Amino acid sequence: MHDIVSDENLMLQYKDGDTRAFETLYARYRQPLFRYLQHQCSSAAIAEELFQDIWLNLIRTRERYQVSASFKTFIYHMAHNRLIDHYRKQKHGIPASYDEHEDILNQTNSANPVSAERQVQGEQQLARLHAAIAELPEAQREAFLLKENTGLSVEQIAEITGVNAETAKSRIRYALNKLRQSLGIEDHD
Amino acid sequence: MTKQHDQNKQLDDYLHGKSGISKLYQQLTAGEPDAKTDATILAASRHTAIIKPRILRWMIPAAIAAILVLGVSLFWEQQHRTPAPDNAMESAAPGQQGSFPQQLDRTLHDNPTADQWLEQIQKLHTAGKTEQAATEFKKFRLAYPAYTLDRHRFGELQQYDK
Repeated sequence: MHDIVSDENLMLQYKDGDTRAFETLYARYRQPLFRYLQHQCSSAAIAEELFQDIWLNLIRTRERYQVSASFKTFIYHMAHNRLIDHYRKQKHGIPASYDEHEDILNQTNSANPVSAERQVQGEQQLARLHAAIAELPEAQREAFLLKENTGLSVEQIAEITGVNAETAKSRIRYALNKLRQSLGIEDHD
Repeated sequence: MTKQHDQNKQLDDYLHGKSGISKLYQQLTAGEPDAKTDATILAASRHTAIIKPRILRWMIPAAIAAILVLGVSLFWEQQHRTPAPDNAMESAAPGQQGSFPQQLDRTLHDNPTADQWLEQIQKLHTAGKTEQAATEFKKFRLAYPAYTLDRHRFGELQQYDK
């Protein structure tokens, strides 16, 4: 029987100098982390730059790694911090949507519910989803992308993004509502 | 109220993986990092990992062992190379080290036992250097105040023992 080594153990092995452990970890997280950054950033070049910075930072700081949280939370927390750092350096600074006290739910734009195109299929619908994600406020988009790309719980997403669980949940709820409106779909049980 | 209830229900469904939005999102094509980026990251991971941690792995216990060995040996040496009489002699008669007869063996001077010291004094006495013998005996007494002279071996030195 082949045991799958946990992310945390791989990171500990890498901390001890095992580069193959790092390669396994990289293979596990390469795609989802890149996908998260790609959908979060407006530019592919920026996503690429942030992606590289995150991994290089992980390599540099590996000695400090301790299994106090899951590796997944750890690396996405680094990604979130790098993202915030990126926003901070932008002309407009950190987006207002990251303000916990911002009542973003009250700002819901009820325009374009797209009722006439409820049956849009295939590529068109995917393209609309892509565009709708890009239009979400950054904080709500990040919460949604973290959920989609990591499968982490609301509490873990809250931990990564440095907010309380209720705020994280509100951001996801807002993102969902906006995406449904944009796509004109309803989720039913 | 109903709308709020619906939204909460939809959120719960979504969080439990029952959502059309999720299914749609997973169909979105995902880009990949550039091959150059992969190469840079993997090269960095190898470059920094090889040197330091592998050395540290054996260096830490080795360093601890070396410190322990050094510490124990220094302690051992100090315990066996510094006899109490020597200290007593130095503190009791400061500044008189230069007057110690040159013919006395330097090693013996550093580490004399009581009998060895008395033998040297006896030699001075036998050679007629009674003043030097008396001076040395005074130093001897300061170092060994309770030492009982062996009358058979050092009976001649009793005259200095006042």
